[in-house]
Amino acid sequence: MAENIMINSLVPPTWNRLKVNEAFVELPEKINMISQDEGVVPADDAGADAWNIETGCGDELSAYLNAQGIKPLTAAANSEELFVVKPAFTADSAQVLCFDATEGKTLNILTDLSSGDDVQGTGVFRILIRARENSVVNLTQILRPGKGLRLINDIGTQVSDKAKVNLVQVFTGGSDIYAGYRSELSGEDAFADCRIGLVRGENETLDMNYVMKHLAPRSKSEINVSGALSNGAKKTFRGTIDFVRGCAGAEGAENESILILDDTVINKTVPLILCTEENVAGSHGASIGKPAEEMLYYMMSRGIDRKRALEILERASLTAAAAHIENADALEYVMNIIDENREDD
Amino acid sequence: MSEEKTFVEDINRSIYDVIDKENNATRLKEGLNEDIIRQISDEKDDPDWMREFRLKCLKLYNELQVPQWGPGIEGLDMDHISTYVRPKTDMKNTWDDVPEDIKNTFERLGIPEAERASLAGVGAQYDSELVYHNVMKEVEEQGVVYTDFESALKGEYSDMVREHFMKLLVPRDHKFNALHGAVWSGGSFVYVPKGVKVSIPLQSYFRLNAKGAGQFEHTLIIVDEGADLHFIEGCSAPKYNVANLHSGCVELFVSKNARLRYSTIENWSKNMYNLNSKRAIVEENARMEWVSGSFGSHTSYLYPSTILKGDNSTMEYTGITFAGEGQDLDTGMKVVHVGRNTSSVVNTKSIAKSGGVSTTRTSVQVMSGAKGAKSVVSCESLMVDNISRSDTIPVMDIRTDDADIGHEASIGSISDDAVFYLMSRGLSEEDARALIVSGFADNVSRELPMEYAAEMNNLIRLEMKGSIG
Repeated sequence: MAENIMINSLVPPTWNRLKVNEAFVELPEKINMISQDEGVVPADDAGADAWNIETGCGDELSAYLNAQGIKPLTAAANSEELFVVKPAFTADSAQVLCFDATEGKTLNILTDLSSGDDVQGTGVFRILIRARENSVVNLTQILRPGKGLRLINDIGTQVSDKAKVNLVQVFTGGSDIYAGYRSELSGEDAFADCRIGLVRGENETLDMNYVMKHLAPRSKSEINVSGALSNGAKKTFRGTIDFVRGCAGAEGAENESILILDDTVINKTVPLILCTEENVAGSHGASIGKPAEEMLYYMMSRGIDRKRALEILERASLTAAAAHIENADALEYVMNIIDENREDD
Repeated sequence: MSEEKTFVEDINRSIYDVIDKENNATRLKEGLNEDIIRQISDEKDDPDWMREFRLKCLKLYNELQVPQWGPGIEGLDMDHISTYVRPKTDMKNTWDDVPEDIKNTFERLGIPEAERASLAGVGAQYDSELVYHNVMKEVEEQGVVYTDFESALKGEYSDMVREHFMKLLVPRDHKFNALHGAVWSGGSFVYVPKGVKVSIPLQSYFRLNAKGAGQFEHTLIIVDEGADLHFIEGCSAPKYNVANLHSGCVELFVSKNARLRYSTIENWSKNMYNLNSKRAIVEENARMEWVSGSFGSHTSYLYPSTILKGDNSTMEYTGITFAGEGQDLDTGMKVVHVGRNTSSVVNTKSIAKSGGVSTTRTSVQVMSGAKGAKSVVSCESLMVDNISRSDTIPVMDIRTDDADIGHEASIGSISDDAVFYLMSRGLSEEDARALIVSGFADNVSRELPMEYAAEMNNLIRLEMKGSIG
């Protein structure tokens, strides 16, 4: 029997009538583990316990994956060479990958979450990252599931002293996507940076929950979202900066810039700042609306028709995020896909 | 530092905390059941429709759940709240006729003095009933109706009251609207006829004196086409060691081309559960302005909401919340853009100190037909120490491509450099911090009439006293 579980919970919640406090997804009775042929080893039970890191989607998804016997796979990546993950989603399948960035090392990871249009069902992909002292993790994700695959992409990170986790996510087309991200900034001067570009249309749902938990002094976080919505798309973005007592000197900022291209979309933005520490600086800014007519007029005066001008703006939403990809190979990979998608259009 | 004179005299906490004896007041027994509701109806000689309405609301109250998303209200036990306390006096229209002890309380609060100096009319409620109501002759002659709610319910405007009563704040909205519908008592009815500009504000002041009691006043204001009104609401109570409850409702109807400003300085005692609801509906080319200062109460749920129904309607909300020791104040605002070319401007400030919890909760909804909607929301929070809590929880729900929505929020602390600079100019650290906090609240005080701004600044200074070390 399918299980209806709660993910992406807003903590603390707000008015129920706004329908942003959480998302519910129906998960299959049986989900299969996606194998990874190269570069990973399955964690034993003790190893799995060691990867008990909270994620953006939350505990109910963890309990579901555990009950389904989805074991974490520990990735052996520990060099600057790009580690590419392209899970082979089949109907109702899941994978959990764990990355341990050892002290002072840099990890470059690219995940390409895609599927053929023949794949029908639910795909769950989870990444757990432990960034140890002075390490850097550059995680790039491109999310482009086929029409038949509902995708749940879930991330949990623990960031130690002076470590840094850079996440770049590019959401292009595809089906319904639920995305969770949680970063526990437990080390002094730890830094988590999220750059997100999204283009959604064709009645697609994108439900997001991003949490930056500042536990240590001088920790820093940034969430930047740029996107374009059209054609019945529904997007909910929850972004939480949580300053916990003791994180003196911490700074957190989130920004969202969303273009709404027609009247059929629903855009919900929920940017929380929670604070129990005096000496912090937190900020949020959002800009939501139609493209500036002056800009469109300028582009049209240069011979670009309105449709093409809007396409250029959509592409810019994605490239604004992609520009922050640190690894050259990952950047090339993502830009090729962005351009490929635009050519298909 | 010299003390500033205001219409609440040289303000200090003691003027709010004076407790009058309940001299032969009529007090219904604690709890909530059909018998009590019927007794309230008997006391007030309700028309039949209102009797039925109250009983339906009680049923709804029993069905609806306590909200799960806000501050805990476990300390509020309705079995220990008396929902109706009538002072032993009927309503008077001269202060000299008001019983001495009650009059003295309002004198201490500065209400008669404010009335003489700067108000066009005053209603003063004491526990469950109004004890004083008066309106300037010139304003009456303009056709403005400002009366206690019970008189309006049975008098010339009874049809208008019935047509509007709890139509904006429907009992099913939430448990405490339903409670209000069941036990409401007192409050004001205002009708400003077409084209009438009331140049001097009207004010209602609500004083809850009775220990372990609730106050459930209903305010209904209808500003007709092209009319203009500023209405001020004040409230206070002495502090007890048991819970008191305030669950008022304010319904505001702003007609085409009209303007209404609704200002509140709320200074309930810190044993008060303030579960208050306010909503305005704004028609074409009309404007609604909210000015809100929340300083008191133990726990607050307060989110004035506005429906911008008419094309070109506008709303501005300016609010400040100051949460000190033992307080959990959940405040904010809601706006729904429905008409075309509507706009909303929201500016909130919150301060948390001495273990207080301040939550700023907002929502901006732009419906698909609200072409040309514009909204700008700014939320600023100040943490005065590291034992307090300050949360900002905004939601934007945008459903049209033709909207321009901006939101910014920030949280920070008092700058050490600024404190150092002021201290180098001879201020004590305490005064320097109080001055910085007053400056932070400046945008709200600038929106208030001068004497209320002075009261607010004094309240801030009082709250800041003893915050060092």
